[in-house]
This record gives sequence, structure tokens and C-alpha cells, in this order.
Amino acid sequence: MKIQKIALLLLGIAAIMAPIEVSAQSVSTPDTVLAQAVSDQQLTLSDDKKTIILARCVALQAQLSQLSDKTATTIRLYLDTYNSTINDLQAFELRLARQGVDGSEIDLLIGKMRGAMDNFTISGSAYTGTLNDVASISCTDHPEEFIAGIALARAQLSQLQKNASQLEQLLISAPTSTFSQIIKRLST
Amino acid sequence: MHGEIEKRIEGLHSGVAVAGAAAISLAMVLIPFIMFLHSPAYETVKQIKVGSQLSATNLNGSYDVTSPVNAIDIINYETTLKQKLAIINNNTDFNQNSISNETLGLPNN
Repeated sequence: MKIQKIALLLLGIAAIMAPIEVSAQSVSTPDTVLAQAVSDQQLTLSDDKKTIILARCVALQAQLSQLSDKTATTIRLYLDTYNSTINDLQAFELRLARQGVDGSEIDLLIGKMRGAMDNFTISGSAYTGTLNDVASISCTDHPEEFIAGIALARAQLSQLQKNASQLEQLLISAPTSTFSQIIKRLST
Repeated sequence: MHGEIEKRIEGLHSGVAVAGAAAISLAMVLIPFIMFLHSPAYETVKQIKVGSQLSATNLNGSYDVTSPVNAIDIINYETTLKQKLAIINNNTDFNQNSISNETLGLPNN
């Protein structure tokens, strides 16, 4: 009877803990990402297309690897620029607070920028990650994954460009959405 | 005498039950916490913390955070911001054509 109770108790604990452990272990690998892309796109290649891919594969993989490095450098440059801008804005906010002027619009802009920077970083990481996966896959063994990976990267690049534009737009509209209110407040 | 022993045994059972419940509760709190400490999520939290500390240090070191702000300072900063944004060129840097089938010399699906 005692053993049954203990077994029941352990079963209860395992039932609670197992889902947590499973969710912690479910990590996507490059192979699974590209295989999933093939499945999502329901991709099949004719022999002619496979021949073209095999002929161009090595050169294209080098090109995609370079593109990934170049994009990562650009993303870092953008993030440095936006981080530096956030520092400028925080400094203004602190100065305004010291003189007792409301600078809440700046705080709101910084919050929006941080959110947009997170999205930009995530989409950039996904895009460069896919390019690297495609650049390292064996075209001989997985030509479908190669093509599906490029199509996936194209969609991720579109998202990256969208996120980059949203981030830039926040600062382009800052003079009217943020600064004009503060200038008005300081002028009265 | 017999009744007193029974009462003591009952008390002992209640104590064991409470201690058992407390131990299970403690395990249910500690196990996820230890799992979190060993997860990539905790590494991310640590990185964000270091980043925030660095950002705060930079701000204190090289930015004017004390002098009063005038309207003209904000107007001047709008010009500075335009110059900063001049390096941003989303359409060129993240050009869709860079990985089009035509650019890569691949057949269309």
C-alpha cells in the first residue's frame, strides 16, 4: 500500500515536470529547419533543375556565405547607430528631468525603438542563420533543402527589410511625434 | 494510556504529512528554478543585464546628462539625427534582388 502511494506521488510529480522538460529540450537544428522548409513548400525538383543546382552550388554557397557576413556587419552597424541614438535620447531625458520638464514622449520613443530593435535583431538573426545553413548543406545529398532554404531566406529578408523600415520610420517621424511636443513645452 | 499513544501516533502522522507536503512544494519550486539556471534563457537574461549595465556606464561617462535643455538643443539634434540616419539605407542593404533566382542564376520553380 505504501509503495503504491509513493509510486502515485512520483507519477504525479513526473506528470507535472515532464512537459516543462520537453519544452526546454525542443531546439531546432539547421537540418530540421531546412527539411521543414521543403515540407512547407512541398518542393520537388526535376532532374534538369538538380543538374543546374549541382553545377552552381559551390560558387553560390560561397556567395551566400559572404552575403551572410556582409548582412551581419550591416545589422551591427544599424544597431550601433540606433543604440547611440537611444543614448542621446536618454541623456536628453535625464537633462529634462533635472530641470523639471516632462520628457515622457522621449521615454515612449525609446520604448518603441527597443521593441523594434528586438524585432530587427530576431529577423536579422533568422535570415543570416538560414543563409549560413544553406551555405553549409550538401547540394549533392540535399538539393531540395538548398532551394527551399533560399526561398525561406527570401521571405526572412522581406521581414528583415520590413522591420528595418519600421525602426527607421520611428526616428524619421520623431521630429513631429516626439520632439515638437518637447520644443513647445520648452518654449512656453 | 492506550488513548494517549494513539493521539501521539496521529499527531506524528499529521507532522509527517505536513513535512511531506512541504518537501514536495519545495521540490516543485526548486526543480524548475534549477532548470532555468541551466537554460539558454538564463544566459540571455545575463547578457541583457550586462548590456544594460554597459549602456548605463557609457551614458554616465560620455554624455552630458546635467545641463538644462533649450528648445534650440532639440532643434539642433534633429539635424544630427538626420546625419546619423544617412548611413541607413534599408532598400539597398536588404535588397530583395540579392537572393532572387535571377541574381543567383537558379531556375524558377
